[in-house]
Amino acid sequence: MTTIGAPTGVYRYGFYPTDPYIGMCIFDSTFGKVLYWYGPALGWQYAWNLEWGWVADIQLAGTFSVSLPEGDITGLTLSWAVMKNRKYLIQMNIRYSSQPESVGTSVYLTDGSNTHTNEITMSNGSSGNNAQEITLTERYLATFSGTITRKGRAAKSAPADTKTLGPDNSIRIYDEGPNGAPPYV
Amino acid sequence: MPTSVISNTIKDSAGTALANIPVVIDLVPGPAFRMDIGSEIEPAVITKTDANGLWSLALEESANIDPASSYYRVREMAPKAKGGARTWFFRVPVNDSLLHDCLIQPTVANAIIKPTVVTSTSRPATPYIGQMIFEADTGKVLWYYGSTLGWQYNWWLAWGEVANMSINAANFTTTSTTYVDVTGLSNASLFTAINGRRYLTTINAFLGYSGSTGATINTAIKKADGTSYYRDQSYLIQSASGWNMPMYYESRDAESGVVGRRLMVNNAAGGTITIYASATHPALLSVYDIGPSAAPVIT
Repeated sequence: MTTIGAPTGVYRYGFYPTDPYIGMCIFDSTFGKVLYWYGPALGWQYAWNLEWGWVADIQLAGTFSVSLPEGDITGLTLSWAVMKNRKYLIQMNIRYSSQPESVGTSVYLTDGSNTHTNEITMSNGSSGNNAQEITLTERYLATFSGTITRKGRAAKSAPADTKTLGPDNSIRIYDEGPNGAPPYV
Repeated sequence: MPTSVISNTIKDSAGTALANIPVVIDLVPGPAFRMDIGSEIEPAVITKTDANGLWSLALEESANIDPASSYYRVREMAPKAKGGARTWFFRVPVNDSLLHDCLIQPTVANAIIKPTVVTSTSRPATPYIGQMIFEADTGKVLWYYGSTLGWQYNWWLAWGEVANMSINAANFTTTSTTYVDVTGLSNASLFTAINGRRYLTTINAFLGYSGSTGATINTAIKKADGTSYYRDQSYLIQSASGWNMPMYYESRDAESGVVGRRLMVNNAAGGTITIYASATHPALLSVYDIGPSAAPVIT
Protein backbone atom coordinates (compact mmCIF):
# COMPACT_ATOMS: atom_id res chain seq x y z
CA MET A 1 0.00 0.00 0.00
CA THR A 2 1.32 3.39 -0.91
CA THR A 3 1.61 5.85 1.91
CA ILE A 4 0.65 9.37 1.01
CA GLY A 5 2.33 12.23 2.81
CA ALA A 6 0.31 14.21 5.27
CA PRO A 7 -0.93 17.65 4.38
CA THR A 8 2.22 19.62 4.47
CA GLY A 9 1.14 22.57 6.37
CA VAL A 10 2.64 25.95 6.53
CA TYR A 11 4.25 26.28 9.90
CA ARG A 12 5.98 29.10 11.67
CA TYR A 13 9.41 28.36 13.06
CA GLY A 14 8.98 26.97 16.58
CA PHE A 15 5.56 25.51 15.80
CA TYR A 16 6.51 22.52 13.69
CA PRO A 17 4.35 19.35 13.74
CA THR A 18 4.59 17.36 16.94
CA ASP A 19 4.05 13.98 15.29
CA PRO A 20 6.04 14.05 12.05
CA TYR A 21 6.77 10.93 10.03
CA ILE A 22 9.79 10.23 7.82
CA GLY A 23 9.24 11.99 4.52
CA MET A 24 6.83 14.60 5.86
CA CYS A 25 7.26 17.93 4.13
CA ILE A 26 6.63 21.36 5.60
CA PHE A 27 7.03 24.96 4.55
CA ASP A 28 8.55 27.17 7.25
CA SER A 29 6.81 30.49 6.79
CA THR A 30 9.27 32.29 9.07
CA PHE A 31 12.37 31.53 6.99
CA GLY A 32 10.85 30.33 3.72
CA LYS A 33 12.43 26.88 4.01
CA VAL A 34 11.04 23.67 2.54
CA LEU A 35 12.00 20.93 4.97
CA TYR A 36 11.56 17.18 5.30
CA TRP A 37 11.46 15.05 8.42
CA TYR A 38 14.40 12.61 8.59
CA GLY A 39 13.65 11.11 11.98
CA PRO A 40 14.55 12.23 15.50
CA ALA A 41 18.32 11.96 14.99
CA LEU A 42 18.46 14.26 11.97
CA GLY A 43 15.28 16.24 12.49
CA TRP A 44 13.96 18.62 9.85
CA GLN A 45 16.40 18.99 6.94
CA TYR A 46 16.53 20.13 3.34
CA ALA A 47 16.12 17.44 0.68
CA TRP A 48 18.99 15.07 1.45
CA ASN A 49 20.00 14.49 -2.17
CA LEU A 50 20.77 18.14 -2.93
CA GLU A 51 23.78 20.24 -2.12
CA TRP A 52 23.01 22.57 0.74
CA GLY A 53 25.60 25.18 -0.18
CA TRP A 54 27.37 27.57 2.12
CA VAL A 55 27.88 26.36 5.68
CA ALA A 56 30.39 28.72 7.32
CA ASP A 57 33.30 30.98 6.57
CA ILE A 58 35.84 33.29 8.10
CA GLN A 59 37.80 36.07 6.46
CA LEU A 60 40.47 38.17 8.16
CA ALA A 61 41.05 41.79 7.24
CA GLY A 62 44.60 41.90 8.60
CA THR A 63 47.87 40.43 7.46
CA PHE A 64 50.00 37.77 9.09
CA SER A 65 53.77 37.67 9.23
CA VAL A 66 55.06 34.10 8.89
CA SER A 67 57.30 32.82 11.66
CA LEU A 68 60.13 30.33 11.31
CA PRO A 69 58.52 27.30 12.99
CA GLU A 70 55.10 26.17 11.91
CA GLY A 71 52.37 28.08 13.72
CA ASP A 72 48.77 29.17 13.49
CA ILE A 73 47.83 31.98 11.17
CA THR A 74 46.34 34.12 13.93
CA GLY A 75 42.55 34.01 13.91
CA LEU A 76 42.22 31.79 10.88
CA THR A 77 40.33 29.02 12.67
CA LEU A 78 36.86 27.78 11.88
CA SER A 79 34.68 25.16 13.59
CA TRP A 80 31.34 23.95 12.35
CA ALA A 81 28.86 21.12 12.75
CA VAL A 82 29.13 18.26 10.27
CA MET A 83 26.46 15.67 9.61
CA LYS A 84 27.25 12.03 9.02
CA ASN A 85 27.11 10.98 5.33
CA ARG A 86 27.34 14.54 4.04
CA LYS A 87 30.15 15.79 1.83
CA TYR A 88 31.95 19.07 2.51
CA LEU A 89 34.23 21.24 0.43
CA ILE A 90 36.79 23.14 2.49
CA GLN A 91 38.74 25.88 0.79
CA MET A 92 41.40 28.10 2.29
CA ASN A 93 42.46 31.16 0.34
CA ILE A 94 45.75 32.83 1.15
CA ARG A 95 47.29 35.87 -0.46
CA TYR A 96 51.03 35.39 -0.33
CA SER A 97 53.92 37.79 -0.78
CA SER A 98 57.63 37.52 -0.09
CA GLN A 99 60.46 39.98 0.39
CA PRO A 100 63.03 39.17 -0.88
CA GLU A 101 61.58 36.58 -3.19
CA SER A 102 62.95 33.25 -2.20
CA VAL A 103 62.01 29.68 -1.59
CA GLY A 104 60.70 28.07 1.52
CA THR A 105 57.36 29.33 2.74
CA SER A 106 54.79 26.66 3.49
CA VAL A 107 51.09 27.12 4.00
CA TYR A 108 49.00 24.42 5.65
CA LEU A 109 45.34 23.63 6.01
CA THR A 110 45.04 21.56 9.20
CA ASP A 111 42.52 20.04 11.53
CA GLY A 112 42.16 21.11 15.14
CA SER A 113 45.13 18.90 16.12
CA ASN A 114 47.42 20.51 13.53
CA THR A 115 47.36 17.46 11.26
CA HIS A 116 47.78 18.65 7.70
CA THR A 117 44.86 18.07 5.37
CA ASN A 118 46.44 20.03 2.54
CA GLU A 119 49.64 21.97 2.14
CA ILE A 120 51.90 23.75 -0.29
CA THR A 121 55.44 25.02 -0.17
CA MET A 122 55.82 28.12 -2.26
CA SER A 123 59.00 28.47 -4.22
CA ASN A 124 60.09 30.94 -6.81
CA GLY A 125 63.25 32.82 -7.55
CA SER A 126 61.67 35.48 -9.69
CA SER A 127 58.58 37.67 -9.47
CA GLY A 128 55.86 35.08 -9.28
CA ASN A 129 55.27 35.15 -5.54
CA ASN A 130 54.06 38.67 -4.94
CA ALA A 131 50.37 38.94 -4.13
CA GLN A 132 49.86 35.40 -5.33
CA GLU A 133 46.55 33.80 -4.50
CA ILE A 134 46.83 30.28 -3.10
CA THR A 135 43.81 28.01 -2.74
CA LEU A 136 44.12 24.85 -0.67
CA THR A 137 41.19 22.50 -1.06
CA GLU A 138 40.00 19.57 1.01
CA ARG A 139 37.11 17.29 0.22
CA TYR A 140 35.79 16.04 3.56
CA LEU A 141 33.44 13.06 3.82
CA ALA A 142 31.75 13.10 7.21
CA THR A 143 31.65 9.70 8.92
CA PHE A 144 30.09 11.05 12.10
CA SER A 145 27.91 13.92 13.25
CA GLY A 146 29.65 16.46 15.42
CA THR A 147 31.92 19.46 15.32
CA ILE A 148 35.17 19.67 13.39
CA THR A 149 37.78 22.39 13.08
CA ARG A 150 40.02 23.63 10.31
CA LYS A 151 42.91 26.05 10.74
CA GLY A 152 45.38 27.88 8.60
CA ARG A 153 49.04 27.48 9.58
CA ALA A 154 52.32 28.55 8.02
CA ALA A 155 56.10 28.26 8.33
CA LYS A 156 59.19 29.60 6.60
CA SER A 157 62.73 28.31 6.17
CA ALA A 158 64.64 31.57 5.65
CA PRO A 159 64.75 33.42 9.00
CA ALA A 160 65.63 36.85 7.66
CA ASP A 161 63.01 36.96 4.96
CA THR A 162 59.71 38.75 5.38
CA LYS A 163 56.85 36.52 4.33
CA THR A 164 53.41 38.02 4.54
CA LEU A 165 50.01 36.36 4.22
CA GLY A 166 46.91 38.42 3.59
CA PRO A 167 44.94 40.55 3.81
CA ASP A 168 41.71 38.66 3.28
CA ASN A 169 42.94 35.20 4.25
CA SER A 170 39.84 33.06 4.44
CA ILE A 171 38.39 29.60 5.01
CA ARG A 172 35.07 28.68 3.43
CA ILE A 173 32.93 25.60 3.98
CA TYR A 174 30.31 24.29 1.57
CA ASP A 175 27.97 21.33 1.79
CA GLU A 176 28.37 19.51 -1.53
CA GLY A 177 25.63 16.93 -1.17
CA PRO A 178 25.15 13.43 0.22
CA ASN A 179 27.84 10.80 0.66
CA GLY A 180 25.41 8.10 1.67
CA ALA A 181 21.89 7.59 2.88
CA PRO A 182 20.64 9.66 5.82
CA PRO A 183 21.61 8.06 9.16
CA TYR A 184 18.17 7.80 10.66
CA VAL A 185 19.44 6.24 13.89
CA MET B 1 -5.91 0.51 17.44
CA PRO B 2 -3.53 3.21 18.74
CA THR B 3 -5.44 6.18 20.02
CA SER B 4 -4.60 9.35 21.88
CA VAL B 5 -6.90 11.56 23.90
CA ILE B 6 -7.33 15.06 22.54
CA SER B 7 -8.90 17.66 24.78
CA ASN B 8 -9.84 21.31 24.86
CA THR B 9 -11.64 23.72 27.14
CA ILE B 10 -14.17 26.15 25.73
CA LYS B 11 -14.87 29.48 27.35
CA ASP B 12 -16.76 32.58 26.32
CA SER B 13 -15.30 36.04 25.98
CA ALA B 14 -15.78 36.64 29.71
CA GLY B 15 -13.77 33.54 30.56
CA THR B 16 -16.76 31.54 31.67
CA ALA B 17 -16.63 27.84 30.91
CA LEU B 18 -19.20 26.72 28.35
CA ALA B 19 -20.94 23.54 29.45
CA ASN B 20 -22.96 21.17 27.27
CA ILE B 21 -21.58 22.54 24.00
CA PRO B 22 -21.82 19.99 21.18
CA VAL B 23 -18.46 19.10 19.67
CA VAL B 24 -18.30 17.37 16.26
CA ILE B 25 -15.11 15.78 15.01
CA ASP B 26 -14.66 14.29 11.56
CA LEU B 27 -11.90 13.39 9.13
CA VAL B 28 -10.95 15.50 6.12
CA PRO B 29 -11.15 14.94 3.22
CA GLY B 30 -13.31 11.89 3.82
CA PRO B 31 -13.50 8.26 4.86
CA ALA B 32 -10.30 6.67 6.08
CA PHE B 33 -9.01 3.38 7.44
CA ARG B 34 -6.89 2.11 10.29
CA MET B 35 -3.63 0.88 8.81
CA ASP B 36 -2.99 -1.80 11.43
CA ILE B 37 -6.26 -3.71 11.13
CA GLY B 38 -7.82 -2.25 7.99
CA SER B 39 -11.11 -1.26 9.60
CA GLU B 40 -12.90 1.91 8.63
CA ILE B 41 -12.76 4.85 11.00
CA GLU B 42 -16.06 6.34 12.12
CA PRO B 43 -16.82 9.26 9.78
CA ALA B 44 -17.77 11.55 12.66
CA VAL B 45 -17.91 11.49 16.43
CA ILE B 46 -19.88 13.78 18.71
CA THR B 47 -19.45 14.70 22.33
CA LYS B 48 -20.28 17.57 24.68
CA THR B 49 -18.31 19.75 27.01
CA ASP B 50 -18.61 19.05 30.72
CA ALA B 51 -19.41 21.51 33.49
CA ASN B 52 -15.90 22.94 33.20
CA GLY B 53 -16.15 23.49 29.45
CA LEU B 54 -13.86 20.54 28.82
CA TRP B 55 -14.27 18.04 26.05
CA SER B 56 -11.98 15.10 25.40
CA LEU B 57 -12.05 12.20 22.99
CA ALA B 58 -9.85 9.23 22.23
CA LEU B 59 -9.06 9.46 18.52
CA GLU B 60 -7.14 7.30 16.10
CA GLU B 61 -3.52 8.41 15.90
CA SER B 62 -2.78 10.06 12.59
CA ALA B 63 0.21 7.78 11.97
CA ASN B 64 -2.21 4.84 11.78
CA ILE B 65 -4.60 6.42 9.27
CA ASP B 66 -4.72 5.62 5.58
CA PRO B 67 -4.70 7.83 3.57
CA ALA B 68 -2.07 9.54 5.71
CA SER B 69 -3.01 12.88 4.17
CA SER B 70 -6.14 12.78 6.32
CA TYR B 71 -6.51 15.22 9.16
CA TYR B 72 -9.19 15.96 11.73
CA ARG B 73 -11.66 18.81 11.84
CA VAL B 74 -13.36 19.76 15.09
CA ARG B 75 -16.36 22.06 15.26
CA GLU B 76 -17.19 23.44 18.70
CA MET B 77 -20.82 24.50 18.32
CA ALA B 78 -20.96 27.42 20.73
CA PRO B 79 -24.04 29.63 20.31
CA LYS B 80 -23.71 33.03 18.69
CA ALA B 81 -24.26 34.72 22.01
CA LYS B 82 -21.23 32.89 23.36
CA GLY B 83 -18.92 33.70 20.43
CA GLY B 84 -20.27 31.35 17.77
CA ALA B 85 -19.04 28.05 16.40
CA ARG B 86 -15.29 27.48 16.14
CA THR B 87 -13.56 25.19 13.65
CA TRP B 88 -10.06 23.81 14.06
CA PHE B 89 -7.91 21.39 12.08
CA PHE B 90 -5.50 19.04 13.77
CA ARG B 91 -3.57 15.78 13.66
CA VAL B 92 -3.45 13.26 16.48
CA PRO B 93 0.04 12.51 17.83
CA VAL B 94 1.18 9.40 19.69
CA ASN B 95 0.62 11.02 23.09
CA ASP B 96 -2.47 12.43 24.77
CA SER B 97 -2.43 16.13 23.93
CA LEU B 98 -4.20 19.43 24.13
CA LEU B 99 -5.93 20.47 20.93
CA HIS B 100 -3.74 23.57 20.83
CA ASP B 101 -0.60 21.48 20.45
CA CYS B 102 -1.94 19.51 17.49
CA LEU B 103 -3.25 22.26 15.25
CA ILE B 104 -2.27 22.40 11.59
CA GLN B 105 -2.96 24.87 8.84
CA PRO B 106 -4.22 23.01 5.77
CA THR B 107 -3.93 24.92 2.53
CA VAL B 108 -4.82 24.28 -1.08
CA ALA B 109 -1.13 23.81 -1.88
CA ASN B 110 -0.88 21.22 0.85
CA ALA B 111 -3.55 19.19 -0.78
CA ILE B 112 -1.82 19.26 -4.17
CA ILE B 113 1.91 19.02 -3.47
CA LYS B 114 2.93 16.33 -1.04
CA PRO B 115 5.50 13.58 -1.36
CA THR B 116 4.57 9.96 -1.71
CA VAL B 117 6.75 8.05 0.73
CA VAL B 118 8.36 5.07 -1.01
CA THR B 119 11.70 3.27 -1.13
CA SER B 120 14.19 3.21 -3.99
CA THR B 121 12.89 -0.22 -4.99
CA SER B 122 9.20 0.58 -4.71
CA ARG B 123 8.74 3.73 -6.75
CA PRO B 124 5.29 4.25 -8.27
CA ALA B 125 4.72 1.93 -11.22
CA THR B 126 2.54 4.39 -13.10
CA PRO B 127 3.85 7.84 -12.21
CA TYR B 128 2.45 11.05 -13.60
CA ILE B 129 4.48 14.06 -14.67
CA GLY B 130 5.08 16.25 -11.65
CA GLN B 131 4.61 13.45 -9.12
CA MET B 132 6.80 13.87 -6.07
CA ILE B 133 8.24 11.05 -4.01
CA PHE B 134 10.34 10.78 -0.88
CA GLU B 135 12.61 7.73 -0.80
CA ALA B 136 12.79 6.73 2.83
CA ASP B 137 15.87 4.52 2.35
CA THR B 138 18.00 7.07 0.46
CA GLY B 139 16.42 10.27 1.74
CA LYS B 140 16.02 11.53 -1.82
CA VAL B 141 13.20 13.82 -2.89
CA LEU B 142 12.46 13.13 -6.55
CA TRP B 143 10.06 14.40 -9.19
CA TYR B 144 8.82 12.56 -12.26
CA TYR B 145 9.70 14.34 -15.50
CA GLY B 146 8.28 11.81 -17.95
CA SER B 147 9.70 8.79 -19.76
CA THR B 148 12.80 10.55 -21.12
CA LEU B 149 14.19 12.00 -17.91
CA GLY B 150 12.42 9.72 -15.44
CA TRP B 151 12.78 10.49 -11.72
CA GLN B 152 15.06 13.45 -11.10
CA TYR B 153 15.87 15.99 -8.44
CA ASN B 154 14.11 19.35 -8.61
CA TRP B 155 15.17 20.51 -12.09
CA TRP B 156 15.66 24.16 -11.20
CA LEU B 157 18.12 23.63 -8.36
CA ALA B 158 21.82 22.80 -8.31
CA TRP B 159 22.40 19.10 -7.69
CA GLY B 160 25.92 19.24 -6.30
CA GLU B 161 28.98 17.08 -6.88
CA VAL B 162 28.54 14.42 -9.55
CA ALA B 163 32.12 13.16 -9.99
CA ASN B 164 35.50 13.45 -8.37
CA MET B 165 39.01 12.26 -9.08
CA SER B 166 42.02 12.70 -6.87
CA ILE B 167 45.67 11.78 -6.52
CA ASN B 168 46.77 11.44 -2.94
CA ALA B 169 49.56 8.87 -2.96
CA ALA B 170 52.44 10.12 -5.09
CA ASN B 171 53.41 12.93 -7.44
CA PHE B 172 52.71 12.61 -11.13
CA THR B 173 55.70 13.46 -13.33
CA THR B 174 56.29 13.54 -17.06
CA THR B 175 58.89 14.74 -19.51
CA SER B 176 56.55 14.46 -22.47
CA THR B 177 56.72 17.19 -25.09
CA THR B 178 53.19 16.38 -26.26
CA TYR B 179 49.99 16.24 -24.25
CA VAL B 180 49.71 13.26 -21.91
CA ASP B 181 47.08 12.31 -19.33
CA VAL B 182 47.79 13.05 -15.70
CA THR B 183 47.24 9.59 -14.26
CA GLY B 184 44.49 9.67 -11.65
CA LEU B 185 43.02 12.92 -12.91
CA SER B 186 41.94 11.64 -16.31
CA ASN B 187 38.94 9.50 -17.14
CA ALA B 188 37.31 9.34 -20.58
CA SER B 189 34.05 7.98 -19.10
CA LEU B 190 33.73 9.83 -15.85
CA PHE B 191 29.96 10.31 -15.55
CA THR B 192 26.69 10.44 -17.46
CA ALA B 193 25.63 13.99 -18.20
CA ILE B 194 21.95 14.85 -18.53
CA ASN B 195 20.79 16.92 -21.46
CA GLY B 196 19.78 20.36 -20.24
CA ARG B 197 22.02 20.40 -17.19
CA ARG B 198 25.11 22.55 -16.68
CA TYR B 199 28.34 21.22 -15.18
CA LEU B 200 31.19 22.97 -13.45
CA THR B 201 34.63 21.35 -13.55
CA THR B 202 37.31 22.50 -11.14
CA ILE B 203 40.97 21.65 -10.72
CA ASN B 204 42.77 22.09 -7.44
CA ALA B 205 46.41 21.09 -7.71
CA PHE B 206 49.94 22.42 -7.68
CA LEU B 207 52.29 22.30 -10.62
CA GLY B 208 56.05 22.11 -10.54
CA TYR B 209 58.76 22.17 -13.15
CA SER B 210 62.44 21.45 -13.47
CA GLY B 211 64.09 22.33 -16.76
CA SER B 212 64.73 25.55 -18.62
CA THR B 213 63.93 29.15 -17.74
CA GLY B 214 61.59 30.59 -20.33
CA ALA B 215 59.92 27.28 -21.17
CA THR B 216 56.15 27.06 -21.40
CA ILE B 217 54.07 24.40 -19.68
CA ASN B 218 50.70 23.71 -21.21
CA THR B 219 47.88 22.28 -19.12
CA ALA B 220 44.33 21.51 -20.18
CA ILE B 221 41.12 19.86 -19.10
CA LYS B 222 40.22 17.96 -22.25
CA LYS B 223 37.20 16.00 -23.37
CA ALA B 224 37.03 12.23 -23.74
CA ASP B 225 38.61 12.36 -27.18
CA GLY B 226 41.79 13.85 -25.69
CA THR B 227 41.73 16.61 -28.29
CA SER B 228 38.84 18.98 -27.59
CA TYR B 229 39.25 21.43 -24.74
CA TYR B 230 37.10 22.35 -21.80
CA ARG B 231 39.69 24.73 -20.42
CA ASP B 232 43.41 25.27 -20.78
CA GLN B 233 46.11 27.33 -19.19
CA SER B 234 49.79 27.86 -19.94
CA TYR B 235 52.58 28.82 -17.58
CA LEU B 236 55.75 30.69 -18.51
CA ILE B 237 58.63 29.29 -16.50
CA GLN B 238 60.57 31.91 -14.57
CA SER B 239 63.24 29.76 -12.99
CA ALA B 240 64.89 26.56 -14.05
CA SER B 241 63.89 24.56 -10.99
CA GLY B 242 61.99 24.61 -7.76
CA TRP B 243 59.10 26.27 -9.46
CA ASN B 244 55.68 25.75 -7.98
CA MET B 245 52.38 27.21 -9.11
CA PRO B 246 48.84 26.74 -7.82
CA MET B 247 46.37 25.49 -10.38
CA TYR B 248 42.77 26.49 -9.93
CA TYR B 249 40.53 26.94 -12.89
CA GLU B 250 37.08 25.97 -13.89
CA SER B 251 34.89 25.28 -16.86
CA ARG B 252 31.11 25.48 -17.27
CA ASP B 253 29.58 23.18 -19.84
CA ALA B 254 26.23 21.83 -20.99
CA GLU B 255 26.46 18.33 -22.43
CA SER B 256 24.80 14.95 -22.37
CA GLY B 257 25.64 11.26 -22.38
CA VAL B 258 28.75 9.58 -21.04
CA VAL B 259 31.44 12.22 -20.82
CA GLY B 260 35.00 12.41 -19.58
CA ARG B 261 37.42 14.81 -18.04
CA ARG B 262 41.12 14.49 -18.80
CA LEU B 263 43.74 16.68 -17.17
CA MET B 264 46.61 16.71 -19.68
CA VAL B 265 49.98 18.47 -19.66
CA ASN B 266 53.00 18.99 -21.91
CA ASN B 267 56.12 21.05 -22.27
CA ALA B 268 57.56 21.45 -25.75
CA ALA B 269 60.92 22.61 -24.38
CA GLY B 270 61.49 19.46 -22.34
CA GLY B 271 62.16 19.23 -18.64
CA THR B 272 60.12 17.55 -15.94
CA ILE B 273 56.57 18.55 -15.11
CA THR B 274 55.24 17.56 -11.70
CA ILE B 275 51.69 17.51 -10.38
CA TYR B 276 52.24 17.37 -6.64
CA ALA B 277 50.21 14.87 -4.67
CA SER B 278 50.37 13.10 -1.34
CA ALA B 279 48.06 12.17 1.49
CA THR B 280 48.38 15.67 2.92
CA HIS B 281 48.55 17.30 -0.45
CA PRO B 282 45.83 15.89 -2.69
CA ALA B 283 45.33 16.98 -6.28
CA LEU B 284 41.62 17.19 -7.05
CA LEU B 285 39.41 17.33 -10.10
CA SER B 286 35.71 17.71 -9.31
CA VAL B 287 32.58 18.07 -11.42
CA TYR B 288 29.46 19.71 -10.05
CA ASP B 289 25.95 20.01 -11.38
CA ILE B 290 25.26 23.73 -10.99
CA GLY B 291 21.71 23.85 -12.33
CA PRO B 292 19.79 23.78 -15.59
CA SER B 293 21.06 25.02 -18.92
CA ALA B 294 17.62 24.56 -20.49
CA ALA B 295 14.12 23.51 -19.58
CA PRO B 296 13.67 19.78 -18.96
CA VAL B 297 12.66 17.61 -21.89
CA ILE B 298 9.31 16.37 -20.66
CA THR B 299 7.78 13.57 -22.68
